Parts: sequence; C-alpha cells; structure tokens
Amino acid sequence: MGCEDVRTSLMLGLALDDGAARHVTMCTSCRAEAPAVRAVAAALAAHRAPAPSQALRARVLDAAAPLLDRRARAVITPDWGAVARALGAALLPLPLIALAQGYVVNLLYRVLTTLLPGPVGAYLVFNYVALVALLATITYAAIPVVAARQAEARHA
Amino acid sequence: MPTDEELITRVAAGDGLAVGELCDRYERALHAFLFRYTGGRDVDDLYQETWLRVVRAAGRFDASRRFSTWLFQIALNLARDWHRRPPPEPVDPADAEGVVPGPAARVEAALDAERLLATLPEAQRSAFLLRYYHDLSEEEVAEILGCPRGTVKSRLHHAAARLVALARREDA
Repeated sequence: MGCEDVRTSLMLGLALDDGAARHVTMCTSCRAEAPAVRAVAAALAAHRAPAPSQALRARVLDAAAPLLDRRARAVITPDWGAVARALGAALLPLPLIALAQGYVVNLLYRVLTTLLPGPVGAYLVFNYVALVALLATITYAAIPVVAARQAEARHA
Repeated sequence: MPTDEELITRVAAGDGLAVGELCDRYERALHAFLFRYTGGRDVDDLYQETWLRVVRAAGRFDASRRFSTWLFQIALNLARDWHRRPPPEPVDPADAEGVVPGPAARVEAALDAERLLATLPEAQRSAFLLRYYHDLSEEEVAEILGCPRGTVKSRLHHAAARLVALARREDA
C-alpha cells in the first residue's frame, strides 16, 4: 500500500490492515498528513443530508401513477399493430432491394470472372451474396423487436 | 422479501406497490446523494425525476445488473445534466439582507463539508460521494460511472488529496 492508498483509506474511514497501519507510523509524510486527513474525514462525516419528506414521497408516487397505469395496459395488450405496420413498411421496398442486388451480383460476377480465374471470381461473389443475405436477415429480424420496444416506450 | 430486481420487474408490469417498496428502500440514500451532489439545489425535482425515469425504463432493466447501481446511474446522469445548466441568477444582496435563516439552516461543520465537496471537479465528486457516503465498492462505483476501476481509484486519490489541500487553505 502506497501513501496515496493509505491517505484515501483514512479519509474514506476504511479499516487499515497491519501493513497500512505500520505505514502511517513509519512514513514521515503520511504521519504529517494524517491529522489533516482525519479532520477532513470528520467534517465529511458530520455532513448530514436531510431525509426526503413524506410529501415528496406522495408526490413521486402520484406522478408515477399514470406511467404505471400505461405500463400495466401495455403488458396486457402488446401493440401487435405497431409491429405489423413496421414489418409491412420494411418489407415494401424488399423486391426493389433484391432486384438491385441481383443486378450488382450479376455485374460483379461478370467483372470478377473476367479479371480473375473463374472459381476465384465465383467464390468472391458467393462471399458477397452470403454477407448481404446475413445483413438483411439481421436487419429484418431486428425490426419486430425494435418496433415492439418503440411502442412500449411510447406507452411508458 | 422480494429482491430489488424482482420489484423492478413488477414495476415494468405496472405494479405501483413495487415502486413504493423500492422508494422505501432507497429514498434516504438517493435523496442524500442528490443533496450532496447538487449542494442542496433542486434536489426534490431531481429525486422525483429519477423515480419517474426508473418507472419509464423499468422494462429495459437488465436483470443481470444490480438495481442499486442502475438507480444511482440514472440519478447521476440526471444530476450531471442539471449541473450543465447555467446557474440561477445571483440573488440581489439588498433582497437577501432581510432574509432570516430558518430552522433548516445547516450547522457550520456541514457547511464546511458542503463547500469542500462543491470544489471537487464533477468526476472526482461523484466517485467520492458514491464511495464515501454510500459505501459502494470501487467496482460498483466504476459500473455507475462507466469507467474502469483504476480510474475510480485514481479519482478517489485525487479527491482525497484535493480535499486535504483545500481544508488546509481554509484553515490558513
């Protein structure tokens, strides 16, 4: 334990182990600092914070009541409509995206198989297709989850 | 007795009694933290807003975490936002002269500690308050502050050194 650790422990009122206690008695600098550290610790310990009033508690519970009510209703009836709407909106441009990707893959395949040996070009294109498919799957799988959360946040 | 984590799950389902139970468990600690962090200004509003955020975010509570650290994290974020706001208009000394200190006037020792704490930089003050007054471990403080444990340790060292230096300067 170094000087900093010992002084911080003293100020925080932590129990000093044998090594730290020995350090305080042996180290000239810490011995000189210890009274000031203890004085600050005593002032901090005397700093009392007032307890919250009963009126504040009642105010908090009153303010929370409508939020809780909405939460209870949201739990009973999940907003499936919002989830369906979000999925519908996301699926709408899917054919267009698939068409554009088909064009890109086709072009990529032609360019790569011209520049590189056939199997290498095909392998690279396959990798690209697999990556795009994976990203699309993750994105579309996340839509119902995100939509449900957003609906829940709106209710809360 | 239900755990805090069970209670917050019930809050997510809209159980008002569970909020009351959590308030009972944490009202003193939370109020005291906000009081010391802000120096006593707007504490009740921050306290209320913290609980409302807890209710709003209850559905997103990560059950693998401790409720207490989550609660203090919410309170700290709110208090930080509050801290960034411009300070209130200074009181006209002419108006202040007629004000008689009420029964809530604090004792001198408390004022000293309050002044000392107020002079700490925000990062050191939040680490110090959580560790000193709320008996949270360095790991828990690190989780609340969103920083490594070593950073908490170093902030505590700096805060302690600064507090001693400030106290000495006040004495001189």
